[in-house]
Amino acid sequence: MRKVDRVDLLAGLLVLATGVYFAVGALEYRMGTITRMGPGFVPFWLGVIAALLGAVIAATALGRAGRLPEFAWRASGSVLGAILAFGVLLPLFGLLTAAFAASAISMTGNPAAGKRLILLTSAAITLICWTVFIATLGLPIPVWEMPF
Amino acid sequence: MDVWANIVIGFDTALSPTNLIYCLLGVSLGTFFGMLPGIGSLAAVSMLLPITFYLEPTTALVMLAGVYYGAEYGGSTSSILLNLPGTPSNAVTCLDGYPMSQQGRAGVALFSTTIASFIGGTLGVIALYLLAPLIVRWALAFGPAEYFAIMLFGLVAAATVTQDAPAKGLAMVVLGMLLGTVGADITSGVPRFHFGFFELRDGINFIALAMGLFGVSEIILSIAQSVDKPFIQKVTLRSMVPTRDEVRRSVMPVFRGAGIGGFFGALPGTGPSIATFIGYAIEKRLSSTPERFGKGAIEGIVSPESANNAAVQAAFIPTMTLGIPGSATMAVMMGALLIHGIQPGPQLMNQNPDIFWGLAASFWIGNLLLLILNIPLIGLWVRMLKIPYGVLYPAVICFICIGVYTVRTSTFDVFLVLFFGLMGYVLRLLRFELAPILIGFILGPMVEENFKRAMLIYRGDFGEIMGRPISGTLLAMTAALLVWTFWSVMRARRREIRREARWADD
Amino acid sequence: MNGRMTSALAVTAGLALAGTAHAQEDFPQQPVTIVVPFSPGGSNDIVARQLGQQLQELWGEPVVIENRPGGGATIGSAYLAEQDPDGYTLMIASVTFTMNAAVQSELPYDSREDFTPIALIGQVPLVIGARPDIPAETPQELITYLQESDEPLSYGATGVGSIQHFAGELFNQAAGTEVQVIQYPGGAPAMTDVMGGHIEYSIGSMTQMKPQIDEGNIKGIAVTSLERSDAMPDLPTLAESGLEDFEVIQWWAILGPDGMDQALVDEINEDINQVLSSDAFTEFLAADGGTPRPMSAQETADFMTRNFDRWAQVAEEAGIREE
Repeated sequence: MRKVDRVDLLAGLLVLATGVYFAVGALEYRMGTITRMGPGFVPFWLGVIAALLGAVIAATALGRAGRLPEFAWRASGSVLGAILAFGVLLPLFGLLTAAFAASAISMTGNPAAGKRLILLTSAAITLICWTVFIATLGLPIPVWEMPF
Repeated sequence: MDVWANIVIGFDTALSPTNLIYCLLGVSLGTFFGMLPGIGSLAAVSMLLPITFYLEPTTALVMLAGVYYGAEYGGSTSSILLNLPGTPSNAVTCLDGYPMSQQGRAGVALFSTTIASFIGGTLGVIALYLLAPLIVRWALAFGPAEYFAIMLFGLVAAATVTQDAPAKGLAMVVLGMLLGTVGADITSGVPRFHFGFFELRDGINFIALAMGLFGVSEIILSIAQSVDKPFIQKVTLRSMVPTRDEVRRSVMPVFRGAGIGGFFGALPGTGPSIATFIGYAIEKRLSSTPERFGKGAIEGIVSPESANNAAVQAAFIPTMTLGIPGSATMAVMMGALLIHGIQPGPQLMNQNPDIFWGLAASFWIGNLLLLILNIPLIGLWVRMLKIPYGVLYPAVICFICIGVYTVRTSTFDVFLVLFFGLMGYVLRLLRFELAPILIGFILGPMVEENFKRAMLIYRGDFGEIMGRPISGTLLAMTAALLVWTFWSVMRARRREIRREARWADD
Repeated sequence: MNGRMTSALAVTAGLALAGTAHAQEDFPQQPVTIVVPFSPGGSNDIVARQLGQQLQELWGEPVVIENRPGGGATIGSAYLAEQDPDGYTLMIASVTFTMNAAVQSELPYDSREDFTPIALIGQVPLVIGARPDIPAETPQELITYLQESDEPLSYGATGVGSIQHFAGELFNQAAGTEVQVIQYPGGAPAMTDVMGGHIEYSIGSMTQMKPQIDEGNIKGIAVTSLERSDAMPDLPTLAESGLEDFEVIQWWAILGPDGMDQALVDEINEDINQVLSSDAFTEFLAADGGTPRPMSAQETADFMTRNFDRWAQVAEEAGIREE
């Protein structure tokens, strides 16, 4: 099999695809003239440049070996899940619930963290958030809501 | 012009006990909130603005100014310790500050940035006192053509900073510029790439982008590796003190940084971030060992920090004397003045000299307070890294979410953090550098806007842009920079080929 | 102290009268929120804060100012449209609100139907400010210069469909000139380019223009209201300078969500008008050349309808739209 640096190949293809996406998307907007550039002008040419750069990156990946690094499913899932939970829960249940949930979910990404530690830490973090943002700053954030 | 009289008026106002106390309060609050991830100087100033409504105008402004540079300073602390830039201008500090931190040299990094910030701030205040009236006249000569040229120069200078894999670095700059096109195009009003979201019509929120790309991806990478060991083992006073060699290498970058910061800060419509990018780019170019940059080079943090603080001070010049804010944070500060019934503008210096010069003096006092406050506290901040990461990161995530939410009371930006966090993680796995994205994101739209404006004003005649003295010179410098970069890349490659050839001979 | 007693009395009265038609007279019973669909520090924000503070003194209940910026006021407006029409969530809107309706094709709400106009607050004229070295002193000289110059001419505005853009295109139509619009992200940068002589003029808010004109950085040419402004009495109006009926003014109004009870609307309207007639509020607006314009709720609704119609027509004729 030929040698391919999979990291740079994938990287190049990703940039290429992004460039094409923006360039094609920009076609929906008016290009305009050089004096009166329309909204599509700059994104179109930036997209073209990105696509070219992507092609160059992918081309340089050929001929040398390289393996893809591992995607950390558990770490990324817990962190991104925590942010998702915060965004969904805040308007429904308020800050206390959202902060507690975000903290607890994010900690499941740490294999060493036991239930006790997760609960205690999340409670402490929730308290800190409340003290700083609500009690001290009085920010207009819903604190405790009951939607049902 | 009686500079001395102005200094006397200024310090007389600034040294009143009330103003001193609120200056201290502002600086402390600013540092504290600036350190919280997800809260940059803009958010910190906006959050604390309502508190100042009941204060005297000068006192209110003194406090808010303290919050502003306190937050900028605090942002550099969290950039160094946690790779979390709270403001665009802190993004560059991450490049070398965070590696220093990982090498157990966080104390040195914090100590040097504190000193560099103070020197930069002091020089900025001196510029404010001596040059404010002059700079105003001179800055007006900058029209769209000149701004286009200077922004392009900044973009090229910053884009060529990453040289390890030029195509990948450039690709990230362009990606940043593409992200910058999201939102309403000012010239036509057309909302571009908004994917049906009204929230995206104003463009992507910088804080959400920076927190996602840098902060969230960093957290994922860290916990994927190992969670329980703290970054560093011991914090001693010794680990705070830079080596003699580091001090020697820092001196010139600090002064160059202050000069660059003073220049860009004084231009209305540029703001401190471009100054930090250029400060970093110049140091990397002037260095005889550019390969150390990005791996913990002290020049890479002191120059941008000095530039940042000098620019923050100098940015008060166009804000106060022309009524033209140089950055979003400055716009909020100006709003604060307006709420207190003070109209910033050319007449402010004459009609309210106590306010104008009092503020200028309190800027310097605030910088001094920052220094006094933070040197003893560095040990404490560094000790924060001894908190087991497994407990620290959930708190960081909560702070990011809350901080981003409060900027415009919307959970939409929280979901943006999620998206950019995933994007940042994937890009890092693919060995991309992320800082160029932010640079492209900030400078790209400015280049586009000013280019369009210049082309409209001169009816499409690019020769007119090149023919104007300031923009012409800047464009020539940009071209020279491109040629130089290309040449040095080629030379490096030739050397590499020669080396490989020699091995082949053996 | 007094405020708390009044509200305590109001609570008692409210209990006694609960269920009767006069129940609304006890408004408000809890804090009232005024949404500002812009960032802190802008003119809408400053006006809303002054109004809010005086209403708070009148009502004895806190009035909270909530900034929900974004999308040129569309995010805050969309938020208001979704709130309960109980009077506890209000919003400040300006002339831009009626201009957006004319220019933006896909708003997430119906600007005419989804809101209840409650009260007009006040108005302030715009000022034509020209670059300091322009060879013209009066509106007529400016128009002659613009008509006869061979140079490419430009004026500054703050976005497609902004009040400055509408004013500029109306001026082009009325004066028979073809000055090119250049869009800026805000009034201040547009003004800087006028000061630097990079563009010919900008039609901006009096708040921003006055200090620059006083200092000689910008040449004041005219005001855009039908009558001269007390703040700058030397500036002629365009209407008196040959451009008949030329009027573009900035105004602010208080809106609620659609479906508010008429008695409640009238009550809030009366309270706001009481604030508008106070010396404190008049002086506050006068500092920037503005005047209060108390109106009944119905007059406010008619006023807004006329604005919707007029800007839709101007946008059509001048081709102002998001392309």
